[in-house]
Amino acid sequence: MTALLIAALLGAPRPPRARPAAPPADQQQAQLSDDEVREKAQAYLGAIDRSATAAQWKALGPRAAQVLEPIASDPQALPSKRAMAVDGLAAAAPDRAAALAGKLARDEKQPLVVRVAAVHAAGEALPPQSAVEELKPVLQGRHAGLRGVAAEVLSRHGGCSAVREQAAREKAARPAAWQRALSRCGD
Amino acid sequence: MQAVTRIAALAALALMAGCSSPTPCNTVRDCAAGERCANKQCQSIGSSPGALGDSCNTDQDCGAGLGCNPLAIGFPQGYCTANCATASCTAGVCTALSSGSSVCTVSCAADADCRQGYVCCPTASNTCLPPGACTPAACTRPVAASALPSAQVVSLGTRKVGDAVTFDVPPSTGSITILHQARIAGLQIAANGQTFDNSAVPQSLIKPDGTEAYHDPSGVASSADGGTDPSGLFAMFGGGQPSTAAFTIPNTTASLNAGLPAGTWKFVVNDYANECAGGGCDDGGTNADTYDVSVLLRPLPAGNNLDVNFYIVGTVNDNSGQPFTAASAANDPSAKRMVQTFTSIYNAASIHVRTVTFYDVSGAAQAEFGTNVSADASGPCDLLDQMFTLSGAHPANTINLFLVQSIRQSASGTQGGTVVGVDGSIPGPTTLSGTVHSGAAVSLADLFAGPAFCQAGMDLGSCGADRVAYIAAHETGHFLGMFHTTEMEGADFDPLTDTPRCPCIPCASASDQPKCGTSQATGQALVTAQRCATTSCGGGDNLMFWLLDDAVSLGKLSAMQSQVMRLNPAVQP
Repeated sequence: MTALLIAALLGAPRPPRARPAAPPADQQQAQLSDDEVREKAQAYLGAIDRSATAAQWKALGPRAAQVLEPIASDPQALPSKRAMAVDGLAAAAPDRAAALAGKLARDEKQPLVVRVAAVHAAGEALPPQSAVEELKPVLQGRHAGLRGVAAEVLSRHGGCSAVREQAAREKAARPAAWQRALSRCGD
Repeated sequence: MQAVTRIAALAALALMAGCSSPTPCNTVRDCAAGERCANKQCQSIGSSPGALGDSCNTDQDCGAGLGCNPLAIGFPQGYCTANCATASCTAGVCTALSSGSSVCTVSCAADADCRQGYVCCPTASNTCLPPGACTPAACTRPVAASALPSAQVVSLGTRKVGDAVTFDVPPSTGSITILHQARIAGLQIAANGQTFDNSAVPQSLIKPDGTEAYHDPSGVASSADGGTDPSGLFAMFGGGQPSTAAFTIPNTTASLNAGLPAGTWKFVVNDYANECAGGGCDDGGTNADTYDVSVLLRPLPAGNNLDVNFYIVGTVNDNSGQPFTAASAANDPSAKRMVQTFTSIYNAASIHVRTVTFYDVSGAAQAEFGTNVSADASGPCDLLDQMFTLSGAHPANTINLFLVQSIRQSASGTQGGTVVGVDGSIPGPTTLSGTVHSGAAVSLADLFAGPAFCQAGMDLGSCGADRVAYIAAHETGHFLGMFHTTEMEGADFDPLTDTPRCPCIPCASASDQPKCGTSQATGQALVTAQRCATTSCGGGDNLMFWLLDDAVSLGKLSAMQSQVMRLNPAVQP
């Protein structure tokens, strides 16, 4: 029964399937040419309803930053593509993302989707203390929805005291993002 | 002689049962499922007038002012209660079930206060409920009525999983849609240490000639590239449909070619939890879930007209710096361009986008859903599905597209990232508004990016409105029953034989081909649109390819894709 049921569940088009194992990521990075890194990065930036995973970005290695960083920083590029580039940078080249993420997250002139991705990237790429410092202005910023996103990210990256402080200041009914953040902080 | 012996034996057993001493009890939890605890003894139904929350078979088994909610509507061994819409509930608490009804339930402090098979539900004011009715607070799972004419809707009532039901299909029927809408059903199942959505799907669908049109699990064939090849199936179910589920056929080449024969069809009401009850799952499953079951019968010929609603959920300023609203959308150049491009994509598939209506949502809904929704926290009570219930404000036979700012995969934040669209389910619960799957989400982040007035033909590289239109068209395709023609790894394909495929071998790069069929995310091969733009490796230009490529994507749809969509009840005559 289990085998049949799981076969059915995995018959859906999107969940991962059981297949033979692949070589480790570092071996694959070495195998990829610059053109292949570029080709794959561009393909991941075109994903519609299934994003590349962090592992897939990581498999491209730091060279992916040559493709992703210019897009993430380009104010003329389409915002959704910039957001995906920020996601990819955080996974493939976290050092590069660390330098960019906090700045993008705090910049109120940036498109919201880019700021959301940057908040997540800051959480992934920065050490917890730095993430809290970089994202505290976002947590206390003008955009209520983004404050909730920052609360969720900080609740996962050592920022619970900052989350609690800001939660106390939130006057309006708090959206679910705050409830999830506070719940993760043990409140 | 044998018969006499058997009767005597049964009589002896009955006497023994009658003579056995009752089980002592302190609470009803001490008694077997279906028994009551009265005078410190477990007693069977009918031994005394049932109090609130007691087991029952009929209304007569319950005390004054109470009626019996039977298993048939989701209460194992029955539940003596009062309808809060028509009676008082002084002894208990009126509890709104997520399917919409409100019943009087008995208070509790812990599971031990409730009967066997019931839980003390903290999100329902601490009252005893079947586990499937104990959903998170503020979760609504409405049971909606179809917008089709009543002659095209077969209502089969509230049914329990395992029930076999029949319906008659008249001649010249173009499509059948079987709808399961949860009355009381759990949200997830657990198997192999993981949780999965408790999707509802007919367990066995039988045609009038007795042959099987579908069986779940379907046993889909493996593809040469390590995935699945469903092209030989008569019907395909994609999963991911808990609580509200639609199963629409034809959706494969085989069923398009064969058509739907007239006569009496039969199926078994079912969900994954019911399959788990047969064994093999970590949580044991349950065969007590109940669904409102109906069948939509869409007559031939295939339709041509599609009505679309856009819900503006995310807050954004237009090119003039003013908030983008339903009122401004009609004359906004970017919104007009988006509609124009969306319309042109579907025109090419002989589907005319007849009406497009923009709606605003409340400030509370904007605050809750507008900034970011998770694409893979997609349970019925998660934000995405709850957002789709907003469509209940405008019930009609429409495609409902929710424009939000950001959509992200992976609630954990440890992997995944931004996506630009996500559908409620494949296919959507067509003609139903307000259910947890009645729509698709599309990012509007690019709508006002690029030139204020996009010129000439579709320009996915720099015209943001075109890009949003393309995503909206792609998600609409999913709602109408389309799967990705080829998935990311080149291993999984749609069930239509006229959509070009792009299999990992030979289409992936030379360095990727050794990875074809591997499992680790880091090791999976990739088929890009650029590599899928030839005769032998195709589909990169199809609307339902897994990615959008500025240079390759054309929004093409094959004849069979068009036919499947035009037979969906959402595409009207």
